[in-house]
Amino acid sequence: MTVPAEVREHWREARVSARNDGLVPALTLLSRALSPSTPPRGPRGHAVVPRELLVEYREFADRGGYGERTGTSAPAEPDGHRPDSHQPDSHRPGPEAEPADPLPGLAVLGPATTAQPLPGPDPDAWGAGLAWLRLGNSERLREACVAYLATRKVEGTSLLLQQLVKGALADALIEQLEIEGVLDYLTEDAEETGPDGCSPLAPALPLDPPALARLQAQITEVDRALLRLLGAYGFTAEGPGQAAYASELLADVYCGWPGPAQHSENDRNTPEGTV
Amino acid sequence: MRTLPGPLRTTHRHVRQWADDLRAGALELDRDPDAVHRYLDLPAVRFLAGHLTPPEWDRTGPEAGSGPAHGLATLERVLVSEELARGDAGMMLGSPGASMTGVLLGVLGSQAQKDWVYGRLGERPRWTCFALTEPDRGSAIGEMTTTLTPVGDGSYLLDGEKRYVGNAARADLGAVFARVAGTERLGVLAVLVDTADPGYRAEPLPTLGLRGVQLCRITFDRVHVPAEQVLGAHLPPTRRGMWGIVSVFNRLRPSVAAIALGIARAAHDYIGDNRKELRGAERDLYEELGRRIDGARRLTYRAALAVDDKPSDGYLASAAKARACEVAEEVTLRAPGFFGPGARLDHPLLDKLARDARGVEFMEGTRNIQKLTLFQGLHTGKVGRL
Repeated sequence: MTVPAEVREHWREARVSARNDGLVPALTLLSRALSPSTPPRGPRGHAVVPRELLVEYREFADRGGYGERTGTSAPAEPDGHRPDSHQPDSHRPGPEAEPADPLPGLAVLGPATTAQPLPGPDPDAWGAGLAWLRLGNSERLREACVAYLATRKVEGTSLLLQQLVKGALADALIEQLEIEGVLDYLTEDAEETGPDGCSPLAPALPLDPPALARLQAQITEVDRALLRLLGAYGFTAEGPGQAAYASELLADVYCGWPGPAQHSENDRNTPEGTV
Repeated sequence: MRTLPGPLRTTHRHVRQWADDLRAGALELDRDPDAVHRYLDLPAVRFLAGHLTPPEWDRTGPEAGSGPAHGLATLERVLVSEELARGDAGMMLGSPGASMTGVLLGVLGSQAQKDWVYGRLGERPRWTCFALTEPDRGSAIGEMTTTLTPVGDGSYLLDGEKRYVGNAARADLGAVFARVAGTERLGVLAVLVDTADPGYRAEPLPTLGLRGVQLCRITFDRVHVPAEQVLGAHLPPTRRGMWGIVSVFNRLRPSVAAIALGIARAAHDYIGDNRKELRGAERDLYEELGRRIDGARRLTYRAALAVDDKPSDGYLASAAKARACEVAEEVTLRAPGFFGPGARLDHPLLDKLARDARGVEFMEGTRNIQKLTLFQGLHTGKVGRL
């Protein structure tokens, strides 16, 4: 995967911004950079976008409306087919189904209702950028955990200094460092291979969409582990749990949770390989 | 970093080829640690013993113990350790050579000490050992009770007991960590010991895995340590104490992670080589295990580069060591599942790998110790920064 230097720079910025400023500013940066003037849509047409960017999207300017998930868009078919713009209104969720914004400043869009939606960002570049952004968000969550736990005491001792808590934070850090290492490989300059066409620094398996989906799931799992350290505070809408939820939603919309690999019908009907 | 220096790439290519030979003797060595004497002519073993160098083995100078000219000594050890452990970790760790003592010499040894050690290693295949861990006290420097008692002329008498020391019964030379009598918790020195000296006694401890390394118990009973065998004496005080010892362990930890990765890769490769076809959920699991190995490898390489850049920067090394050991256990435990019930009996190499994977957990600190170290780095802002 050869990635232009400017795209890699956008990834780095997304991570730094998510960590320092939060998920919405980071998504605004990344969206403006990789998907200007059209909402970045996932494989089934959904999108999670900063609310402030809605006015910049041509598809809505043409139609005179935003087409948010709430009230003006139709759900995708189970096979991923994007519904056309002539779907009857009765198929659209009514106002009672309106979901709240996942995070202040974010809007959720249903599948595009135009017959031919405008082209979005390159899926690989967008997917990797999102992974960087979500890593930064996860690191921000870790810092929030450390700050919160340092203020809590149990039997006169800081919660932060309980060994189980130390271990859990170290576990989260190990995951984040590993994720950073894998993403770094995408962000660094293209590798020169030796005369044998092989480099020990190259991963044995390609960083393909399933690998990226696994990485996204790994970020979600780290976030969940960190949220557990926050107790009920992490469950409140005012705490850092809300940004973690928005991050989960981004992973869902653009990657889905890695499930069983897609095999051919022939594969599914064939007995397992034998020794 | 995605481009290796040419000499390092060449070294890796040769070591990778040599590693395959180690596999042939793996099970024999597992049954009989003394079988290592029958494999001393293997290129990988000769390389570890210091008697064979790959082409372009470019060192900073002709002096004994000179580091690589490319400056990435830790990354070099990582790449070599991963490949050779993929061949067989038991044979790699049970081979003659400077091994961990060489790393210690690189940080704390004078040129005269390096000449003495490498001179003896050059005569014929000789083993070294690295004696740190103590019974009931583990590897905590502050708890160490093995004692160096000054005798007035700059030399010492060494008394105490060490445990879980690889190759100690077959070693000619050893590096030993001990507290100077009457000093505080951190008054620890590293010294070189000639195992032929009176008072040195080592006996093997039977283990469940990594039998080739032949872990031992050592007792020291008034072993005389001349002043010239005290490591770091030529260095300024700030460089010879804990700073030096910590930077040695920072350099070693990525290599232990690499050994764990090599064991994991051996099990993963075994599945790929011995299953005719993998489909469906089995293929998914196989690929997932491969990605787990890849992730841990990236972390290990970054850890090595961090230490090569700054020897005191060992937090990534702790993360890599903890993760790589976890992956090694996971992959080696799941590998037999690809071959059905009884696989650990029908595929003895898989059984050996599952046992060997447990052995790396205890080297250079267990996973829990690494996590506590890592938390300390997080809490003090030394790791996880942007």
